[in-house]
Amino acid sequence: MTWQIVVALGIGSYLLRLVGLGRSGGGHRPAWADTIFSLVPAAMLAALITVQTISGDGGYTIDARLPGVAAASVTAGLGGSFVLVVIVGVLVTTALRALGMA
Amino acid sequence: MSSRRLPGTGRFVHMNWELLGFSVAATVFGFSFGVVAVANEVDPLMTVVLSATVFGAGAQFAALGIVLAGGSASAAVVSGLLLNTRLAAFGLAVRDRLRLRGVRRALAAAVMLDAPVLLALNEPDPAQVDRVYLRTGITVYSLWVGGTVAGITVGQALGDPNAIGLDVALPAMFVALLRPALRSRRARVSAAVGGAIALVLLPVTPPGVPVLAAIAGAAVASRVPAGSASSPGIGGAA
Repeated sequence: MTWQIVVALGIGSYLLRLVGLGRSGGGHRPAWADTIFSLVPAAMLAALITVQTISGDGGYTIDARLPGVAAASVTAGLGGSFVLVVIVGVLVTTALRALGMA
Repeated sequence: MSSRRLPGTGRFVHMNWELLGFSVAATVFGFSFGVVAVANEVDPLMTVVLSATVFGAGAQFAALGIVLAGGSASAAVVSGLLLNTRLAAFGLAVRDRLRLRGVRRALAAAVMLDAPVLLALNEPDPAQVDRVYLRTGITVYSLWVGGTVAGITVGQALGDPNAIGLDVALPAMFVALLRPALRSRRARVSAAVGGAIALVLLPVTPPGVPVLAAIAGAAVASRVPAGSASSPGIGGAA
């Protein structure tokens, strides 16, 4: 993490917050743009899960992260809370590493 | 916040369950971010500043995830900001209800998140909207940043995050954030296509690119009919 990233994210986020509250313009984006914007988080989160779970050394690495994230997914699918989902994922991976899995 | 008149007494009882729920969530998000960032050797001051200025779970965790995966600064910034674009829509939604001006309007922007916007929109009394918005926003913001500081102290005590399963905390958080976003068929298609794009690009592009390219999943999903039956194989992406 660098200060460049931190400052750019901070300023950009404030501008995004301010732009909607502004008095002029806005409110006439085409409907298709709204639809796409509303779908962006799902696509990016799924991509982040994929990358964080199986990436390593510039390629795929299958290790104890995968069963941990799978267990977290099942917990989320069963309606588990944010905290429970994270705890289950971390505990499964920790347990598998304790048993010798990478 | 919703105010209800207690039956038979004429007194107003303020039901703050919504604010309580948002407060707990904000503390948990802030705390989790502090733990995971510092355990992965992000500077504590940067960690606090991220929570205080980016102030969005998806945006903060996405930027952190891309930095940890070795992605470029621009990929981290663009990904984070994309996950905060919904804030512009939030602003449009409450713009005409808020009467705050000047410094207070600037403050209203700084603390904007789901909680103050939703509670301000739900407030039946127009005269109370400003107060409800600011009180909710400042409460959630304070707990978010305070939670981060608490998380940092815990994260510093944990040592190597990969020795235990703490490196899984980040993808597990993404899972927890994704789950409620999958209500519509289009969102499920978006997640499935986005996950598939990342999977394919992962070994062949620089870190950070798979996540940005996955946005194409949203464009693909927007072409899908909104209400028809689920397609198979969707669960794989989550």
